Amino acid sequence: MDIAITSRKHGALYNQSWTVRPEEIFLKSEKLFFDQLIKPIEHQMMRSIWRIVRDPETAKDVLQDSLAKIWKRLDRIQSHPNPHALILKICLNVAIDSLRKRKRLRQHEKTEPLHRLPIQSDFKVHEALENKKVEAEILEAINRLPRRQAVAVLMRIIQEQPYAVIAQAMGCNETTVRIHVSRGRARLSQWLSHLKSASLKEESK
Amino acid sequence: MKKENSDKFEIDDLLKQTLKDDLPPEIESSMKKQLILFQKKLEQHEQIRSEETSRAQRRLFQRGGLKWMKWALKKQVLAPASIIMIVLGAVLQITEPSSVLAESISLLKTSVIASDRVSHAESMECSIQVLAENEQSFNYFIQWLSTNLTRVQVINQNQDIIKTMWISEEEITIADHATNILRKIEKLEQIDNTEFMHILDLLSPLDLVEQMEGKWRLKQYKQQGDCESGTFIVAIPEEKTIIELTVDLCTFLPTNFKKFFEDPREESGEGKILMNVNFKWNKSIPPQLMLPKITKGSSCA
Repeated sequence: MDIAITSRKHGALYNQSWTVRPEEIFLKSEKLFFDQLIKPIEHQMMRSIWRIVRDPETAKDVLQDSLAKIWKRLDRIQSHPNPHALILKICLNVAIDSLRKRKRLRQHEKTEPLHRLPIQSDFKVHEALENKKVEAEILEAINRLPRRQAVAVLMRIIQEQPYAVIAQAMGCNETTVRIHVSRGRARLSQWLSHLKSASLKEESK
Repeated sequence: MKKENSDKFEIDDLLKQTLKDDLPPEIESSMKKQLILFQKKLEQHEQIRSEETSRAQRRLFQRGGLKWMKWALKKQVLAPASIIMIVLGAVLQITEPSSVLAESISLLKTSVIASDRVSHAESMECSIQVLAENEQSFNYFIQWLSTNLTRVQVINQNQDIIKTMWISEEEITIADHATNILRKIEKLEQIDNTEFMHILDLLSPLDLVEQMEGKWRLKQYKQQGDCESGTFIVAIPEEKTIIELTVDLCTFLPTNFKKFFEDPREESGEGKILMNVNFKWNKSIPPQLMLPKITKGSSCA
């Protein structure tokens, strides 16, 4: 339905037409916001964060920061065409920020935090160290990607979201998302080629 | 093409294998606790906001609580009180030097007449600049008619109106110019736009009067020029802020309102301005500005 509003700008009166969406007439409360928007995807939020940061303390910090960002953008999230995708994108963005922060910190302390590795037998320690190294290289490569490429790649590969949903969350069209994902994949492929061949060898064994 | 596709699958597999979905249960449970805490905070915020807005709405539309003030401001009471004050003022002016008592009488006279003039105003327009948290600033333009119609516009830094709210006794309408969505609500409690929270105390002159008479603690009163204007410097202890309210001594209506952070080191109050309001009183406002008009043939939900 259309509603005309008389308004005043720079001293002059002017008319403006509005389209009213009935579902927007009533407002959601904060409790409804949590029940309808956060609760259904809380597992996805936690898992997405964990899969990128892979460190207990950092994961908690990232979740906390993501919730703070969600809180600040309540209005925007409520009026977004796909609020769930936007929330997951916020979580990814904060997780990527934490990777960048971690990198900056590591430039100061050059040593790896080995104390976080579990105490196991020699073979297992070696394996864990190897896995940790691969993980660090992949995260480093993701970190090197431009932010929008990194978000698109992670939403596509890790969260397994359809291109249309990623496009809604990123506020661009589907073609742009496909380009971001394709370029991101190509770069990761190039930077991580040595890991791919190693993993293939392992699989063939 | 085949190579590209195989590269794509390899890199996808590598990422999925390395960044695998293996969130340990103990970390999951502690993250879940964080989410529960967040949910509780949301609920608390909703409760606080609801209390604040109902207070503001009570002020705007329920005048029962102000009956005693109406009585105190009746001409039969005000006239003799004013005469006594003028006589006392004249006596004190003749007897030198002017005392603290003279100042306090002048202050009392100004505050009583200003409250009366404000509560009897026919219309009010004010432009407001608010410095919110994180150095974010909001600009507002409030128009009020004595028929209890209020219109609030939120203006961005390019001077474009981004949101408009109309308040009448029946309903509240909020237009979001960015999304082109119009919402109708019944109570101020239902407002979820954080932008409007800063100006709930200025939605009508009665709100201002209630603050002047209840919430504010007077620290100082000074007159500027040749008795052209008077400034009340007041503190709001619970907010830890200082307010400077300047009143035109010809019309006894407020012209400017400034809010600062309370800072004991800055006695002059020249700290960071949190809110700056410029008032215009009793100017004619086009009535069509005050309510959104529904066009012929359309219906409103």
